[in-house]
Amino acid sequence: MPSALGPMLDSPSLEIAVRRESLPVEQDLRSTTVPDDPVQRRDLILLERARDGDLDAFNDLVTLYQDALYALVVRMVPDRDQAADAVQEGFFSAFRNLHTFRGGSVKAWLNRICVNAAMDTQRARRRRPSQPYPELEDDSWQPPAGEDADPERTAVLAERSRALSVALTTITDDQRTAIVLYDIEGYDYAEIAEMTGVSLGTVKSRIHRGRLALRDRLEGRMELFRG
Amino acid sequence: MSGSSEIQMHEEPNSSDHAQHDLLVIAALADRGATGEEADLARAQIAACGACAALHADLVSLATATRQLPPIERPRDFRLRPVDAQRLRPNLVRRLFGSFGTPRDGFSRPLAAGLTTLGLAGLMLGILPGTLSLGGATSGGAPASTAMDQTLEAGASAPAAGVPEVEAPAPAPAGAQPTDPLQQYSDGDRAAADNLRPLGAGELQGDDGGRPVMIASAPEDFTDVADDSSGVSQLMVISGTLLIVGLGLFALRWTSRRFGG
Repeated sequence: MPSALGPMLDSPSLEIAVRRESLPVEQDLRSTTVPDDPVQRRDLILLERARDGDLDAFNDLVTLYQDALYALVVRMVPDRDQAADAVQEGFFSAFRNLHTFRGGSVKAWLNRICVNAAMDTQRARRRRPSQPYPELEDDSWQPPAGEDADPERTAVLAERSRALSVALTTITDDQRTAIVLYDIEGYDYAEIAEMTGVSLGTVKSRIHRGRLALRDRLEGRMELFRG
Repeated sequence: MSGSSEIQMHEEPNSSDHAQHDLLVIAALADRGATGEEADLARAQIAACGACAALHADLVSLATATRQLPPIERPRDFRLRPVDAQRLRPNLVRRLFGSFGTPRDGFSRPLAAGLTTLGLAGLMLGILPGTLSLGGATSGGAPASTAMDQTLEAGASAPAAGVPEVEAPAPAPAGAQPTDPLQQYSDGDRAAADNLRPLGAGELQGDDGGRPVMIASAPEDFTDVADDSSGVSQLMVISGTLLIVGLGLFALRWTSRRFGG
């Protein structure tokens, strides 16, 4: 069905999805609706293939979303190793539960699974409290250096990110999860409430209290964030 | 730095009031999550209090900075290997258990704990019937028994009202049959019957010899005890079942978590 695949080819990350020779026709999609969004269509095609036992198709989904999912989970579980384990467990869980996908956004579905895996990791940490989270640093990242990049500002931005990352590790897991989902992932209160299994009011409270806690932790360094 | 000193100059005159202010509504406003009343209150606080205004500005800055946090590079590739896929493919056990025993399963653990506790408690009650009797003796059985003994003694030492010419029992000669019919039973039975005595208390009658004896209620009491023993066995069966189910649930949880992938 080439005409249906046309928009998909516009997607920059589509090469993985289209490298197969025979793409399934629309009737193969057991989801109730076929979305117009080419990315979602691509994801659904890959998911259907994975459901049919195609491991490569599932791994294509992994390739597409593993960076974003790790970036999300490592903010929730600031221990890098544990975050990686949680993401891996999330993908395992997704593979095991391919048959439970009921349509909609595959990305949101994977996000939810990995958030649950991250929360499981947090719970396990709480049951076996050992040490505080190690300081989360990422030396691999540097602010983009343009022609007019001010070295001082670049250094301030890097220091700000580092300070905030460290402060995030010191607030409670629940608060951090809510803030990460709200700020970094852009979910709204209701979506976070559904994902984390708590009430809307609890989500708001966690975000607001977490934000106040962050400000307390960064009290001596708020100059980095002003202006 | 000048901004900071400005903030502090603002903070000082309002610092005593600021402690009374609701900071959560400020945080809600900074997240654009404040409802009508909350937003009004927050705006009023910000307008009146420099510290609240500084807090609001800081929270907005923090939210912006959090959104701009750079992504962190993943340390490894998360693609599944064929061996992983083989291990993870749904099999009968996995379909049977589903998410049973996962950390999000908040149902099976308390259920298993409850069933096990009930089973253990029931077994203890069943195995140690004396526990119940002992409890009765300490709470109400002993006084009743004592009252009974006193009644017996009273009946022995003086004519009781309505029981004319009750003779004092003569001391039993060594080797003679005991006058108390309960003595023909074993100590354990007697102890059990003693605890049942309050039911028959007061049922003293003079026999032909005028001696106070218990009417033939003791054998009935022992029949009750026999009935109780069948009740105990039922209790044992039920408790054992509960215990087995509870422990089985724990085992299922463990199996699911261990082998469910």
